[in-house]
Amino acid sequence: MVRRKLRHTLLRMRLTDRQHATLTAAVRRHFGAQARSWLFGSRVDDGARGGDFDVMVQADAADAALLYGAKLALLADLHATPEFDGERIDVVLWCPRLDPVLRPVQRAALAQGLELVSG
Amino acid sequence: MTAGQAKLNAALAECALHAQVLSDAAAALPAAFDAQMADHVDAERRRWLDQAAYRFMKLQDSLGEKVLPGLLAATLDPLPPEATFAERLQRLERLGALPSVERWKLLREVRNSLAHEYPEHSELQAAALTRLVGGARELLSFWAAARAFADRHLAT
Repeated sequence: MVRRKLRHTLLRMRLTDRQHATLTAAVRRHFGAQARSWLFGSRVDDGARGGDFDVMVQADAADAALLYGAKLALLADLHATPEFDGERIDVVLWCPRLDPVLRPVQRAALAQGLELVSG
Repeated sequence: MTAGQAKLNAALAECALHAQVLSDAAAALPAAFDAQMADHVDAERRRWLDQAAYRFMKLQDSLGEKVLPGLLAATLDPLPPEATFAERLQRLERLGALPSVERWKLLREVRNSLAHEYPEHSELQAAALTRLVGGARELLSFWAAARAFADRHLAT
C-alpha cells in the first residue's frame, strides 16, 4: 500500500526522486521519525513550471522554540544539498499539540497537497 | 589603492551603517518574546522589528555578497575561480574572518524566513521574533569578526 501511495504521489508532483528522498530524510532527521510532510502549492501543479517548494511538516513536539529551530536547521540542511541548492523552500509547521485548530494554509496543504512518503 | 580595495572599503562602510542601525534595534528589543508579546506588538516595537528585519537582511546580504568575497580576494592565497561557495566559506572560517560556517548558514535561513512567513501560531511567531533578535546579535558578532579581519589584513 505504501508503495502504491508513493507511486501515485510521484506521478503527480514536480519533485525528482532524489529531491523526494532528500526531503523526507531531512524531515525525519530534524523532526523525528513520526513527523509527516506534504508538498503543496505550484509544485503539485503539473501545468506549472519552476516555482517555490511549499512544504508542510506535521510534528509532535509542543516546544515552539525547538520547532522553529528545527525548521531553520531543516532549511539550512536542504540548501546545502545539490538537490535544493539555490531553491526557494517555504516550510509551514503544523503542530497539533501547540495549535489544534487548522489554519487556512494548513487546510489548503492537506486538501491540495500530496503527502511525502518515505521509500 | 586598487579598484578591488576601494570596492571592499565601500562595502565595509555600507555594512558599518547597517550594523549600527541593527545594533540600535537589537538593543531596543527584548531578548525573548512570549506568545502574548507576539500577539500585541505596539507601533514603536513594530518599527524596531521592521528596522531589525530590514537591516538584518541588508547586513547579511552585503557581508555575503561583497565583504566576504572581497576579504578572500585580498588574502595572499586566494582560491581558484572555480571554487564553490561552500569552499569559500570554509576558507574564510579557517582564516578567522567567519566565526562558523554552520552558524552562517543558519543565519541565512533566519534572513530568508524574514522575507516570507506564513501566518503562524502565536508561540511560533514568538519563537521567530526571539530568533530574529538573537540572530541579529550573532550576525553583529560575524560583522565584528569580518571587520577585525579587514583591519588586520588590509592596507588602509
